[in-house]
Amino acid sequence: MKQRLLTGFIIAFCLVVLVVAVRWSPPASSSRNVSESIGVIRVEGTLMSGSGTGLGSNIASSVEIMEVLQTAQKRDDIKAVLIRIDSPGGTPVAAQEIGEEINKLKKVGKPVVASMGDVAASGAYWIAASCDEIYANPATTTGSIGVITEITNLKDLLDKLGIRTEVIKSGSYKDMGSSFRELTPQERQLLQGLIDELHGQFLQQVEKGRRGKMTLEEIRRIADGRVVSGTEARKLGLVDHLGNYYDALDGAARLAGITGEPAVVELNAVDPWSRLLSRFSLESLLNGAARMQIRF
Amino acid sequence: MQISEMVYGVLVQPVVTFRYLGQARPLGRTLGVWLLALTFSAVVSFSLIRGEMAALLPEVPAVQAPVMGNLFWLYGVGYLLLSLGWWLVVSALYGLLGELLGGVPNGTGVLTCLALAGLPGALGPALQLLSRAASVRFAEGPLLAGVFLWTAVLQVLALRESLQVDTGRAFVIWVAPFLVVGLMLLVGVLLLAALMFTVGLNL
Repeated sequence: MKQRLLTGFIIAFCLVVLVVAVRWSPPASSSRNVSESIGVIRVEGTLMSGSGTGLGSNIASSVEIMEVLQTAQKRDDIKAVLIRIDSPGGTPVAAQEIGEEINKLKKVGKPVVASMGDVAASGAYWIAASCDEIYANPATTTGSIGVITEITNLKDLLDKLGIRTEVIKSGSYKDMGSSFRELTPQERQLLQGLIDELHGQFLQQVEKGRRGKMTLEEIRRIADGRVVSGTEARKLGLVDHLGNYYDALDGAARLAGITGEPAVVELNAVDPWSRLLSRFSLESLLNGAARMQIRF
Repeated sequence: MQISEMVYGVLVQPVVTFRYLGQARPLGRTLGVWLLALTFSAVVSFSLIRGEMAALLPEVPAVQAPVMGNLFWLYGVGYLLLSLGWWLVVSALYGLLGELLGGVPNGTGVLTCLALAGLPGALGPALQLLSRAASVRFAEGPLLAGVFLWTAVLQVLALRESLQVDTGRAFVIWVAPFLVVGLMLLVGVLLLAALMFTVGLNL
């Protein structure tokens, strides 16, 4: 009798639990059930225009960042975006692409605020300058408005090793920037022209982003590649406020008209394993290696 | 012994039942009970994490529905395989330790008793689900602790009866794999911490 009772009870209990399991919906996570959120996008590492950075990479891919910016644009619950920047810069195209996407976000009425971490220099400052407001910590390293390319000349070393490179090319400039020979004066002039043009684009972007806060002349005076602290950047007008990540969140909420504590949605959170592995990534090891690359 | 008698015996008269099961070793019927309990547990525990999984997907029903369906099967099969692996490995380990500590060699008996001793474990996700559905999440902790304790006691009894050792030795056998896993985890965490400290010191 007891055995039957217990068996019946177990069966009934299991049925009840299964019905609850099928019918009960867990409460939606905070990112989905709130009507007013701030989307946080992290720009961490060297800016590059490639997609798919892979596990352990220390690259901020413009393709991935543009994708999350588009997500922020489409999601109705996201009323403002905070871009947390910790990057020494990168390629001009990556910065331009992200800057363009930020402009689109601003056009649909979603304010974008930049919060600078350890470093937000060069191309990363380009991104920050595209935002409505910029927050920096007093010890943040920023600025570095300039363009650079480095060519390592291995000719003497190769000569010592007895290695010669034969080049067959379709035009006189096709191997411009080669590590196997000196730059010719004409090539130097061409490259300088390219760098100057890109520098001009950089200045225009900063002038556009900081309009009303800095004049073009003021920007020109400091656009010589120098890096400055967050405090100095505030004095110069390169940033709007001194404050940390949470101050920037409050600023984004204020611009979006969100009252009370805003919900925060991490749009491209990096998992801790990737963060750890990025310290040992190939890109990190190759950073600064001999290869020609124009970068902000 | 019928399946219902086995379940009743394990839950109500565990000592006598494990003594019988350790000798009779009805592995086929045990496997049936074990599979039923595990399927129930997998379905219930999936419903607990369904929300978190859905939150990771785009908010498009046409995308969410098929992906969630696939995830359910993936989760179920993974749950089953991992549990099966754990059951076999732990049983083999307990059998070996039992023999080393003077118990009788009884691999199939350990496998049978251990599977049935884990039956209350299926209650864990069920109670978690009920407490969440009833919005009494604070009850989860004590309920899970109770289920763990019950399962642990049953497993020690299962080892004692199947290996024919005293309670003290059965407890030592039961706790040994946990100690080894704990020690390995501790060493792993310490190594990781040392590694992070070495690479993270910069200003």
